[in-house]
Amino acid sequence: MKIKNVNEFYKLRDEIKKNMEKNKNIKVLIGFGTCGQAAGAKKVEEVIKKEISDKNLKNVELIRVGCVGYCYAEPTVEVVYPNGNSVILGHLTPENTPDVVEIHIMNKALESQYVIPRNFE
Amino acid sequence: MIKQVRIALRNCGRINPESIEEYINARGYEALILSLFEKKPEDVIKIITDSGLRGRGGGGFPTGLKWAAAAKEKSDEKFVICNADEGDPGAFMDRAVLEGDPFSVLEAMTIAGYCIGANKGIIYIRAEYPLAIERLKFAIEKAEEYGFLGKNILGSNFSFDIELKYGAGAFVCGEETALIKSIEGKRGEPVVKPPYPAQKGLWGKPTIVNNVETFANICPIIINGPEWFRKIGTQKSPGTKVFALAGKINKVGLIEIPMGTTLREVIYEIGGGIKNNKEFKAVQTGGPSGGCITKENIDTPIDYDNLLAIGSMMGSGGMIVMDEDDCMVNFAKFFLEFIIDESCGKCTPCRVGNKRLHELLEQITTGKAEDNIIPRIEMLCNTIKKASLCGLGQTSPNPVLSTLRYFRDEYEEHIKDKKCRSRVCKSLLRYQIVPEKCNGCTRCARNCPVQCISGKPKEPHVINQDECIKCGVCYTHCKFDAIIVS
Repeated sequence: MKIKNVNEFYKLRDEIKKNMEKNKNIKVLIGFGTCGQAAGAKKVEEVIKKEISDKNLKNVELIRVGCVGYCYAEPTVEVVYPNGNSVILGHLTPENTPDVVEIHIMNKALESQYVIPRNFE
Repeated sequence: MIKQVRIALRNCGRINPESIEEYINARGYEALILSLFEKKPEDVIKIITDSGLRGRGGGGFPTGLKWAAAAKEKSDEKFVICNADEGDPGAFMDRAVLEGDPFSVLEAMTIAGYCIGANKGIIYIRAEYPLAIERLKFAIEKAEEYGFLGKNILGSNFSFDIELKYGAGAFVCGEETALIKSIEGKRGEPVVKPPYPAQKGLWGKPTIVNNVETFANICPIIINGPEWFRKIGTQKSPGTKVFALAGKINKVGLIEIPMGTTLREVIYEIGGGIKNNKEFKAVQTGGPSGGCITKENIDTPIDYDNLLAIGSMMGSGGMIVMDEDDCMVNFAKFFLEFIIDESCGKCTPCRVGNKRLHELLEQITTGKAEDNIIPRIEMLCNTIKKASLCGLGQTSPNPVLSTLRYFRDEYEEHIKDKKCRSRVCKSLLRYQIVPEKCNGCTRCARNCPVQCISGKPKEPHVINQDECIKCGVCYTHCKFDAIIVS
């Protein structure tokens, strides 16, 4: 759909904003830049997907994003809760991912041994 | 704790790079609408000039002035080029921006086109970035579909298209004139400036060439205003800079810091200190064109002018941390090897000079150097600097000059004492067996690839120094710490 004038743009933006506000899913942002992929983000993503379907988790959205910059801890995942809180988890492996899913997605914990410090706002 | 400030990386890792909706939700295309419908091109250029934004590719030329120069030219056709030919070893800032937030670069290029009166944008990107290319292609398609690119953007009378050109990975093509030649299908060789690309660029038409990170800064500046941008960073270098922090540091990563942050803050607060608690030795900034920053300058605020003053340069943002185990002579040699590979060969001082320079360093690291070699190195460096045409040649001796400036004693140690204190230069090492500790287990002799270790079982062994190739196999195999390296 082509936007033909400024009003149409604002209308579209309002619509997008409304939809995003309505969205109360837990968002799992997985670092999927070249760096994340090289470090094994794809395997981690597969495990998360499997856990979500095995445990029948509802309202969880998996989103591939670019590099966040925590190269030392790749693959990394940021879990954003509907209330706006979020945690960044690092050093994920296919082995520890089920644990991470349980702690941070099912139990929504804000702390665990997987949390890495956030160094920017 | 020193916090990063994210402007260029504002959306990286936050939004889905393949969703234009998420980009719009993150204030995407607000700057374009502001520019197209509420401001004249010269007003937008004034905002950029007033913000003090300088080219993030490394040169630090004021972006606003570049745009103004191209806007002034009268021509039927003009071009906006995005330089995504990121080539410094260890640098991946631009890749992160393109992979994480491709729309922001497209939007900024469109604004640049509106400002200078160009209808065509080209992203020159290296073919080694397949994921960035894929995401850019997707983003261009989406932007066209929504009417953010193409004819009469959002109903205005401004039209703009963007296409991708792939670089084959030649380092020199990051130099703007060589880049333009490469797009024209010619050999990627630099040409003399002036005329600057802003006057005569691609196909002889006025052209601006800006780095990915520079473009990534444009939209926030237009939305928030130049005063906002000037509040961040230092007076002469406002804003932030993205660095790829690599080497012997605990938290390797991509960081965006306000200009004026010190190296100490970067290494010990953001980077989490040196690996294995070793001692910090130096940081190389500016890649093969830059120089090193040592302990004595660790508290210097990082900005364009300060780094130049201490013999390094901002560069595109690679930051390689070295500790006590790194040999500075060997390090300078590494960058020279890179330059030799990447010199386009047009100018003799760069093509031949760097090769000779490398040979001189090779002599030092193998213990074959004559005592008066340093003045010869310095003379050669200065010749290459002065007689090369483009930035690559002019800056290629910088790693050598800067390590000579700060680590002259290490060079002299190599030359006079035939000693490498970091034990990196293998030819200068000497493996010896301590007779008191050797119990004659024969393990070293059995594993030596050139069979230069002799001795009877249960009696101390001896290494024949003339035949030893310094491979270190005996050292790693000895279970009694009987072999020492000196």
